[in-house]
Amino acid sequence: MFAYIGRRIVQAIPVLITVTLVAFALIHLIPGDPVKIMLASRATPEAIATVRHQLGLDRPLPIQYVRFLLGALRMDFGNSLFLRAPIGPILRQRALVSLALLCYSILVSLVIAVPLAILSAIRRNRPTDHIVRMFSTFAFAMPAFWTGLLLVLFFSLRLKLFPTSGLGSGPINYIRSLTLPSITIGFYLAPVLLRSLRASVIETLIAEFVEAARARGLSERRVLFKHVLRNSLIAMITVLGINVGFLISGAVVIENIFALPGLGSLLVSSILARDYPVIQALTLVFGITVIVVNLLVDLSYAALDPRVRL
Amino acid sequence: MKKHLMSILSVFILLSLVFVAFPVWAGNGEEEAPLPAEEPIVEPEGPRRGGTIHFARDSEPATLNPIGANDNASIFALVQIFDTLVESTHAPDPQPAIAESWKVSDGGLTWTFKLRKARFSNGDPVTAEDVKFSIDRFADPDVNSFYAGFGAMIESTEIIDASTFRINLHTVNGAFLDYLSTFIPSIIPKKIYQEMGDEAFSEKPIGSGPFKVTEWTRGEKLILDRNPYYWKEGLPYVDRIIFYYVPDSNTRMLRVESGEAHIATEVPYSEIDRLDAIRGINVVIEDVMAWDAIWFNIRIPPLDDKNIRQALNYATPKEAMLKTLLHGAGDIANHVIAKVKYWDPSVPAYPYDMDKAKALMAKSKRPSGFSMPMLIVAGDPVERQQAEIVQAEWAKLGVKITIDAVDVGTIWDRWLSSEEMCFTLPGNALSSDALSDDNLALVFFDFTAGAQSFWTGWNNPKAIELVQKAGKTVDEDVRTEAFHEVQRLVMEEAPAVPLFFTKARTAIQDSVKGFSTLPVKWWNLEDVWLEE
Repeated sequence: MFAYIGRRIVQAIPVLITVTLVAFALIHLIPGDPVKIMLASRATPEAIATVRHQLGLDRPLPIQYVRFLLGALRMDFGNSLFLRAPIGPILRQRALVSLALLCYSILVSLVIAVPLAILSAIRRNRPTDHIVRMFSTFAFAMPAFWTGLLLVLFFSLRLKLFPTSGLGSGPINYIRSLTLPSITIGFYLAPVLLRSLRASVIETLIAEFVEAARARGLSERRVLFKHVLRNSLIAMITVLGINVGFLISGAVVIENIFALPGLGSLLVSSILARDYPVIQALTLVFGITVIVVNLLVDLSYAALDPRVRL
Repeated sequence: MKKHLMSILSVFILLSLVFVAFPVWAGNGEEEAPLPAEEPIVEPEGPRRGGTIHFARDSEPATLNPIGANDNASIFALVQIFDTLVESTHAPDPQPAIAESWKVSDGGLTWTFKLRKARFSNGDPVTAEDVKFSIDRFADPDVNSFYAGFGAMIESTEIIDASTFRINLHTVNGAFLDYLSTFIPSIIPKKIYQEMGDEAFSEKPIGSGPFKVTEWTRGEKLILDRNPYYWKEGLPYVDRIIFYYVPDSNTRMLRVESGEAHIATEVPYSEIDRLDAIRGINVVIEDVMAWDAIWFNIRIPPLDDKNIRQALNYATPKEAMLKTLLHGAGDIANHVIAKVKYWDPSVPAYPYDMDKAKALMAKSKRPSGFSMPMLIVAGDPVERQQAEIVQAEWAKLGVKITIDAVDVGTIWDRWLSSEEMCFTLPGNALSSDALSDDNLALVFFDFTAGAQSFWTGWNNPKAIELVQKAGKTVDEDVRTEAFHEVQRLVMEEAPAVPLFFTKARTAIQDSVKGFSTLPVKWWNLEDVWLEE
């Protein structure tokens, strides 16, 4: 297994280099110039030249890229053009918020999705199933900004249970402040997980080994949790893995609505400001995240399915 | 096998808990979310000391270093932390701050400042050495690269004695004192700055302003506490201000509605009436030096024809747009820049007059009309509606507009290339950094000053002469007259369609007293106090 992990890490290196190279090329190809954005109406040719030189943007592009790569090897991403501060600490602080939000959201979605999926599958085509499926279609169809605002209106303004936005300080307030955003993401993520889990539970329920387990006289509960659920999880974990990669960079809307300083909103603001070093650093971080999550998903296959050997 | 599954599950749950809880341990749990304040009925006698103001803003500071800041989010925080020699208030001229008084001699070339006894927030006295250091940085175009023009007239600085400081100019500049009142020449403690280095100082600076930096979490909040050594006796009233960064305007307004914030900036136009109607919340609408206009590149035909530009001005229904889009929170502009010190109210704005517009069009080079793209900022609903109204109205003259919505970065890139014909920015994008007209005049009217009249290409020798004449004198009458004449000239020549003088719109709880937005768009928060 360790050989396998080693191989995957080696394979990841060219992937990461390609990702950063493509991102670097794209961001320099699109129109827009950080110096002109910063100077705006004061962007006289002399001012542009001075600031560009101060920020090191007058160096040739290949040299800028190589400097970024060499820095990244030492985990030094340089300074943000716009925030005028080292990128490393900013990324770390925001990555923690993103990770906390991500884990909480996954927890919420699993709590919603797994029981409902099982319920729905064993009561297939009966009223319970229809209700669960209606709920999942409804939840999935709600745009996140809308769900978020509704939750805030009800739970924060009316019931005053949670803050409307922002990060709380202290353990209790921190978790409280992440609750509504996590439920909002959970509302989007749970139906996706629910549907794939329901489908594979239904498929597994009619499998021969389930029949055999029942024939051996195992209790229905034991059959369901030990044999059916376990064999059905692979599909859901795959879907989850894909979504984790997306959520770590794509929770922008949620981060904005709830004023959470995560990685997604940083990506958007740095793209708008053409903050090249921050965009490059974020691309690398997202690339690594996706690769790591994929690796974990693959490892989980081996743990769940004895036929998979790594 | 079951063991495997269980261990994977438990590792996942453990990891989740660690990630959810870790930042809690890492962060210091200092302040609580504020309790919703119930409005008291009895008016107390006078300002009350103490309390914490929770202040929700639309944008976050990029830096807390006066040199290097160039965005409003940073600037409006900096002015709470630092003092300048002279300060910007509601008065038309800068007022004494670190400089108690000053004398001008040599026909405006020598400025001698009498320094006040003041202290930085760490207790150190503000010395002439600190003042010299700060002004020298302001005057150095390589250090002060964002606003080099503001300090460009300074020849040298000298310390006369411990409480006297002198600035020698190489050219007289009518706006010199106004530039000194901006945030850029903020007085910083030389020794501490040199010890800390630029990067660390930018994160947690020390100044002599009303508040000091206690904690700054980027992307989230900035906590400022009262500077116990502040030179204004008894000020500030509040103990603490917490600025929160809340980018989404709905969410920002919810902060005030829920009582989590006392103040929220940039109320969306469409929300003004609803919020104002809520008991305990007030939306204050105040004059600031900001404006909105549609800009032409008059080098590209047929926009080189004045008849066409005037026709488009007459064909723009500003009254109706002000009522429907801005919900009345603005004034129709009679100038292509903001209402600054030398604004002449008697210059007429272009009324909405289709007949006149059609007559001018008939006289023009393109009586049957033409097509052109208009660049606007994407994602701003008011901008979009504004552009659509203009599109519909101008179509009546045969002028076909295609709306090209792009991000701000692309707009600057394309507008500065001088290849675009027409563009507009959101109403809060343009504002004056200083109290007098010069900083805007150089950008918008003096083609030779570097920005090609804001890249409109308006190259008018008379306007250039007037701007330079006004800039090179401290004679108020001459300056007033020159700027008034420029205003009449630019309105006649119409390199733009001036729309509105936009206003600051702030939602505040009734318990907040003494709050006001200054013309320069920031707030003297030392004057604000909280009712019990």
